[in-house]
Amino acid sequence: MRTFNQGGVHPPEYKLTADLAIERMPTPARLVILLSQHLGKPAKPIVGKGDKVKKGQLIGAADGFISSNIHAATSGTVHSLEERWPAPTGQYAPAIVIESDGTETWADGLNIDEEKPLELSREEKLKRISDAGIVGMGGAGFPTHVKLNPPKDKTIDTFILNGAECEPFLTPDYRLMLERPAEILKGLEIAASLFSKDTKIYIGIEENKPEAVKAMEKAAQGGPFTVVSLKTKYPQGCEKQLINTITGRTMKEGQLPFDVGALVHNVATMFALYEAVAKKRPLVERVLTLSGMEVKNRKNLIVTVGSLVKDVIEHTGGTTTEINQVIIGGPMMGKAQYTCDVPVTKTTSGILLINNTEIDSLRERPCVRCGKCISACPQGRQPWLLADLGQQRRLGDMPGCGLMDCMECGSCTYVCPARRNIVQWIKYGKAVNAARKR
Amino acid sequence: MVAGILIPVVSLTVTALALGGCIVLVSKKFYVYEDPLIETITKLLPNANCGACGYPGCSQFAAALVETRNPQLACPVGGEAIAESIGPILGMKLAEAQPVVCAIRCQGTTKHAKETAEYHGIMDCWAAMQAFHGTKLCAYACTGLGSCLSACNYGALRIEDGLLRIDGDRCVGCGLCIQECPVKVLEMVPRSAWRYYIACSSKDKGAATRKYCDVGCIACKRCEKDCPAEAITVTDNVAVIDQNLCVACGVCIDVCPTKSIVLIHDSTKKRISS
Repeated sequence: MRTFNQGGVHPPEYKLTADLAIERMPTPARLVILLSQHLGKPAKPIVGKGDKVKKGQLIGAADGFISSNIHAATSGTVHSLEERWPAPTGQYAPAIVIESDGTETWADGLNIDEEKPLELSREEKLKRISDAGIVGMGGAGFPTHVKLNPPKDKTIDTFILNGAECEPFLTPDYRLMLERPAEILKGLEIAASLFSKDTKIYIGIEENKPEAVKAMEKAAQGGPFTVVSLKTKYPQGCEKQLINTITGRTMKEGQLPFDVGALVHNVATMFALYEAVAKKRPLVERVLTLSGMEVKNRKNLIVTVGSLVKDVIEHTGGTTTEINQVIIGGPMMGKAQYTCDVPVTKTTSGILLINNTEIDSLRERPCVRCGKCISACPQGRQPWLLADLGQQRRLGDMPGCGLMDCMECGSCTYVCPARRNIVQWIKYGKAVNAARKR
Repeated sequence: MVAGILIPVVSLTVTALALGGCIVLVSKKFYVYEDPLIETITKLLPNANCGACGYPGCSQFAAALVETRNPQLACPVGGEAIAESIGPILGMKLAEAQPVVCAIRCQGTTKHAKETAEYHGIMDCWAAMQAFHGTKLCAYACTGLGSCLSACNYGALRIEDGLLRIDGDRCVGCGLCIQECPVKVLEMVPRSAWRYYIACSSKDKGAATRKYCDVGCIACKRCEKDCPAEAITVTDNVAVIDQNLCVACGVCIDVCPTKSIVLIHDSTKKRISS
């Protein structure tokens, strides 16, 4: 069974929502649509207070090369433009608040049925992807049209669909693969058609999801796809690890996937890409998992982008006990929130509700030099060293020890018997070093 | 017996003389002239090597001063006294560095500023910035985690009630703390006996500021209107006092509805000197 060459951990899976079919959550009366749901510059608002908008209408225009379009997720009226709204990333971002009129009328020219999306020209496909504001929905939110348009001197020979979904609790990609395999593959084919015909297309799925492997194999029959079953190991879904697993190539520090001739796309992104190209539907809704041990009705939901987390929790009926922590994303890489007023964005793959008894609040202790973090690091780095440098405020020395090679997967912190905040120190080092460079 | 003593004495003396000669030759050959003024001036400087002048330490500053004879070079820590003592040595009038002192443009203690949630992360301002700017709702507030403390060589900074406090007597105005602050809430103000400044840097609109904090500047412009010296302007929803125009009358403090203007009375005007 294939897996990446070094490091990794296997936390308990807790895929509690794996057997629950995706349901649709009705659009709440008020949506808060963040203008920064992607990497790069926030979009520029192009509507004003009181404007009537239709579903799918452009309300925030991409500002710069690495940026993405933002659309009204329902029809209604612009209630206000907020300068500062808590975003799930732990920062504040500008937002547009829309009062829904309940009709969900699509804007003109959208929501069509394209007969043969594959035969559109390359420019048209890329334009539709960029117009629809498609971003990497696995969590980072890198604009997909930029990813699909690598520099001319790079040749892409491998295209990978990331179905690893290695974070505990999360199941939206798994349910999508079970319920909409044909659409995902069409999206994948459209994306791969932007490159040469010889591009190999792999679908990587972890072995703990045999149903998904079966569903994708069935749908992929006769197509140019190879379904690969992977050994379950976190962080297989990180693109560096997935490329290593499937192609055997290793990305050096500072390299991007196209430097080794590969591109990795998430399942949900490919589904959204299919809808964008074939149906001209902007990215205004996504599948997410609401889970946690104390949640009354755990669910996989299609949620309109801009619904507040509290709306989602209310919709499912809340929790059995009081909740102390709300995490957006998975337990390994997700971010704790201070308010349930944060909206669902294009990159919100899960909402995790955690009770006080489940939080391990042991104090950080000194490093015992056991070396577990080194064996766990999928990048082959020395996490303890980076954490030490951070703790001693020797931040200038951190880049020389592989600071930027770290993708903050948290494996080191997960295995540390001394409960050191290793990944937190690394994130801290990155933040200060980035600020000093400016 | 005598030879036994004489041989080593003579041979050692000859070797010592020869080596001594070498040292003399080498020191003549590789002699580097250093202006004795540099040492004289270095001795007059505070010798705290704080780097506020832009040079790595006091002797480098002295060297630059002697070499360039640039009257604009100034020691911000020593100020007037240093300029007056060094000037005659170089035979020119040096510019006085205007003595400054650090001020924090925030009064958001745990009592005044609204808080969001408990923060269990790394106790450092830069780390807290990654998690909704720390525990305070206001994005322009001092996080109170004290990243700046380690930058101060003079022990002028401390954290109290979740807010940075500055000991004006100890602060020498080197400004090293400013770059350690991720919120950019620290500022240098001229060290005058009566200093007024707006202790808020929130660029949020008035209504929002009021929601986040009891003592924030809500940009009502009453101080701007009432200032007899026209030293106050409100830009970007926050008032700023032009310290060159301020006459220290104190009218602004009386009219400010949120008490966000602060007066510091500095009777000592103490300063580090040699």
